[in-house]
Formats: sequence, C-alpha cells, structure tokens
Amino acid sequence: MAMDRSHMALSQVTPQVTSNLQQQTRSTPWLARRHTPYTKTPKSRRLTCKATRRIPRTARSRTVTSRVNELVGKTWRVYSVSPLHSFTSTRSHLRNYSRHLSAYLEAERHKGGIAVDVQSEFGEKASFNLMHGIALTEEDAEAIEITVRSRSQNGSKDGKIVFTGILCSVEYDGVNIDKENFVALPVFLVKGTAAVTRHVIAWLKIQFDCRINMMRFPPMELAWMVSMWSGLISDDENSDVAVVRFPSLELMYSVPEEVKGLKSITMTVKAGDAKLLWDSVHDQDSDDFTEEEMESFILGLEAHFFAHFKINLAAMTLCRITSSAAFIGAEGRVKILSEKHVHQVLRHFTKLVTESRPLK
Amino acid sequence: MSDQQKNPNCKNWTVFKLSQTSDKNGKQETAEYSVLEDSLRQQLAVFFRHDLDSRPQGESLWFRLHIHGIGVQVSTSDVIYMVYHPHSSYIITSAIKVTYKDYVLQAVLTSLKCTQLKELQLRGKNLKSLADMTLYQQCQGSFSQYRLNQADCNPLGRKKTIKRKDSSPDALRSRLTYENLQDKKARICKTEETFGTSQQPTLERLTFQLKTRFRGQHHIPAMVGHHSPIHCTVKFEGHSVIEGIKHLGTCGLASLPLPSHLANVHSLAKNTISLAEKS
Repeated sequence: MAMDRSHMALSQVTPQVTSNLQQQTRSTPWLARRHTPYTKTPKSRRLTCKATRRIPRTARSRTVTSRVNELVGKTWRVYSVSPLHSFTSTRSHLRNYSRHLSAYLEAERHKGGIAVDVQSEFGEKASFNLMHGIALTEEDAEAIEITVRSRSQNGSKDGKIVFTGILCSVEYDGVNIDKENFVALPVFLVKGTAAVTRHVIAWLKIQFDCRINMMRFPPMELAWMVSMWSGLISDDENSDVAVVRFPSLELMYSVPEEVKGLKSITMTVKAGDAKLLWDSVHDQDSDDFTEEEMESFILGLEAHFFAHFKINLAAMTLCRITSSAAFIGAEGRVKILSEKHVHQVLRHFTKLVTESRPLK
Repeated sequence: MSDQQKNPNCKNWTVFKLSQTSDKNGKQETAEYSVLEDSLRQQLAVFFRHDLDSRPQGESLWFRLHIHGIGVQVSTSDVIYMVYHPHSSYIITSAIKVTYKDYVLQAVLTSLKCTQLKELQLRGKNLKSLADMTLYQQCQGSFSQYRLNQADCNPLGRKKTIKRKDSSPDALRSRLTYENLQDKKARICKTEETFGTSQQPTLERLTFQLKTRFRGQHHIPAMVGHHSPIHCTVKFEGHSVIEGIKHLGTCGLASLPLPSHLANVHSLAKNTISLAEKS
C-alpha cells in the first residue's frame, strides 16, 4: 500500500511540475552548497589576460592617455563591489555624482562624522572622472576615479587629496547581470583616510544600491597568486621598481600564538631561482596554471625550508606575499609593483570577486 | 645617561670584537674607568669637539659621547652610548652616524690599546642579552644552569617536606586526556636538553642566508638533476626569537632534534648566519 502511494506520488510529478520545481530552484539566490562557508578551489587559473592581444575599445580610446601607471607603486586597500544600479558614466552624470558626494561629505562633516583638521576645515570637494587604460575589452566598463580633496587655505583650486578610489573591471565575466540597469565595476581600490573612506563607501552603497565589502585574501588565494606570478620576471634592466627593489618571491608566515616570542617567519627566494622553480613546475605551452602546479610549487618551497630548519611551514598561516607583479597582504592591502602586470592583477581580483558571489 | 642606563632597550645596539691586544701575555690591560675616559677624550679631541661622560653600572662601563655638530641644536644622532666590560674583548655601541663611525672606532681602538676592531653580525635592542651572548658564549643553553647556579641545590637549605599540588596547566585539566602524553614529555625533555630551562637571550631578529641545493625535489621532480644553489633568505622575527624557536619544538610545529644552526643559535653570538653546501 505504501509503495502504491509513493508510486502514485511519482506519477503525479508531471513534466510541467518538474519544470516549475526547477525554476523555483533556479530562482533561489542560494547555491546548493550554501551551508559551506568556503568557495571551491578552482582547478586552474589563467595566467594572462585574454585581451593581451589588446582589443581596442573604440577609435577614440586609442587617442586618450592611459593612466595605468598611476596604480603602480602605491598601497591600495581592495574592496569588492556588487553591480551598481543606475550608474551612468556620462560627463553630466559624473558631475552630478561629484556634487552629491561633496554635499554628503559636507553634511557629515557638520554632523561631526569626519574629523576636522586645519587643512580640511574649508570643506571637502569630490570629483568623479573616467580613468582610461584599465578596462581591456568592450564588455568591461570604463574605470571610474573618485577623488576627494580638501580645499586649500590660500583659496587655490587644488587642495590636498585625502581620498582616492578607483572602481574598475578587467575581463568581467559575471553572468546574469541586467546590463540595462546595472554596471559591473567589481573591484574598488582605495587609498585615503579612514573617516573619508567610510563615508564615501556609505554614500556609494546608498546611491547605487550596492554592497561593498573589504576583500580578504585567505592563505590559499595568496598561494595561488604567488605561484602564478613568480614566473613574471622582467628581463628589462631599465624598467621597473620591482626588479631593482623587490625580490621575485617572498612568503611571510605568521606563527600561531601559542609559540611565544616568535611572530613571523619570512622566506625570500632570489628572482632567478624563483623563475627556475616556476619553469620546472609549469607547462610552458599552457596559458593556464593548474592546481597541481600550484601545490607542487608551494610544497616544494616548504620542503626546501623543512630540510634546513625542520620546521613545518604548512602549520603556519601564509599572511603576505611579494612577487614581481605585486605585494599582497592577507588583510586586503595590495601594491602593484610593475605597470606591465596591472591588468593581470586586476583581472585576478575581478575573477575572485565573481567567484565569491552566489550565482543566480 | 642614567635614563639610558635604566631603559637600555630603547636603542639599537651593535657588538664589536676587539682583538690582537698589544699586551704580550695576550690579556687586556686593566684600565680604571677614569683613566680610560681620559684616554678616550684625548683620542676623540683629535677629530671633533665633543663631550664625554662615563659611569660604571654593575660590571660594565658606560660612556656617553656627544659630538658637537653644526649649529646649537642637539641631534640624537650626534649622541653615542658605548658599553664596555673590562677584561672582555667586546664593546657594545648604539648607532653611530656613518660620518663619525671610523673616527670614533679608531679612538676606541687606541684607548683600549687594541689593534683590530671587528663589527660582529650581532645586533638587537636588548643590551643585557647581547652582553650575555658575547661574554658567556660557551655557557648558553643547557650549560646556563651552571652559570646561573641552578645545578646544585643549597646543601644548607632545608628540604621542604610538604607536598604541594601539581598546579601545571596539564594537571588542572583533569577531564582532558592526552593521547600523545609520552611524546609531549619526550619533546619537552629534548628541548630542555638543548635550550636549558632558563630564559633564552632576547633577540628580535634572526636571519639565515642560504646557498644550498634545492631540497624539495620530491614535489618538483624536474629539479632532480639541478645542482646549482638556490639563494634564499629566511628571517625569524618576534620579541624573543630564540625563545620562540624553543617553543616550536614543544608545540609540535618543528621536528626534533632541531638542526645545530637553530639549536645552538644562543651560542653563536650572531643573528645573521650563512648556510652553504659543504664543499
């Protein structure tokens, strides 16, 4: 009898009912693995941008000056941004946004939200500008630069910059985004005072109905980044700060608190040797860096360390890495060391933001 | 100077070794601090205008040297502190400006009647630890129990017969059972054999320069035939690095026994060490 009932229940599930159920499942914002707090480790990651064969965006963009070099050599905080609702990057709209943000900051300053110091007592002035050279393909939205200046005392136009933020996207492949109403600029690089940063982010959330969260880089992601980018050594002697000042590869591990007295262990490998290890691990014909290659690279270095010191680095937490492309801290700080690698770094951050979002 | 003597850990100190004394017996001439001060003042007067004060503290002599720079304002970089232990071959100085360094060291060399002064690769903030590591280089680690008079109990002292409760953290957690208790005790025992039970000298940084063959071939098989050295630098940082290395063993984060260049770091009297392949 029970079997008959279940048999009947199954037969009552018509194709129409099935498709309704499927639609319901598809429409839920939660992943099937929603109770798992961790994202899946990808099997491989692309090393270079697809558009390094740089597809020019428009005829006009060939004539504008690229401002990519302004990102190099500065320490940025990285934030992830959900798609911005009703954001337009025309000149008139950007001027409006500038006015609104300036008014908002002025109101916050009068409320006492922003500390008043001698230089900023004459108020803050915000401006929104397009930043050319960062977006690579037609699908990427043009990067937006937000600056907040304090008015100088002698009445001149340009005061001290107290906040710089860059909303950008490189090879964004987020699916199911309503392009008519939303603009995807998932990476927000921020450099500024804590108070002004907090208020600018609050304004952006209100104005464009978006979520902005500080990005943290767990040890697994840091391991990916250092493994992928250790092979990117410039042979050009005249070029970059990275070749002169920074080693190719640096891994900093923080020691657990129960080990009193020791705070961190830093392992630095010379540029040429890191490249040699990278070449030994990576398949030169492939543009993808696989999970096996990443594991081999990191475990090889940890084994080399263990052979000399008998200390298990795997038991420590990787908290900071330096490669020829960038210096990255687990707390979300990044310093891009080379102009040649700006797009690779930003493309990777764009990918990380996309992977961390639940799919529709 | 008394402030500096009370709080010596605010400055970065460097250790120098004096060698090749002119005395025929190989021992340094004994010098009273007033005699030494006069001699040093005379030597320094040849190079620059200065003020020199000296004061004994315990077994050491402190010198405060202020070099008169251009202008009236006193800059902290123009003030140098030197700590000298008589009958020893070491002198510890605070940071010396590059422009003054050669002259100051020459004056020290001449005053102490030595022929060579070598900067050791030993720097730190804890003056007492630096002095201990250089002066008692041969009695660190487990041998420190003899230096600190911990080996023999006082024969005239009364034996305490009252048994006290074991208040160690392990005993207090009576509901916890350690499956690897023997292993834990073995690790503690091995660590105490190497480092002793006393507090380790305080070093803020320990640096190893490695020029050795790659040892991770198991994970990177393509490196098996590769014999040229890999250049690596490893830095240990913390408020007391040697103490931290000692705890790595007891916490199970390191395999015991530790290699000799880590286990004996308290006796090496340096915090920059080079490791290379045996030729």
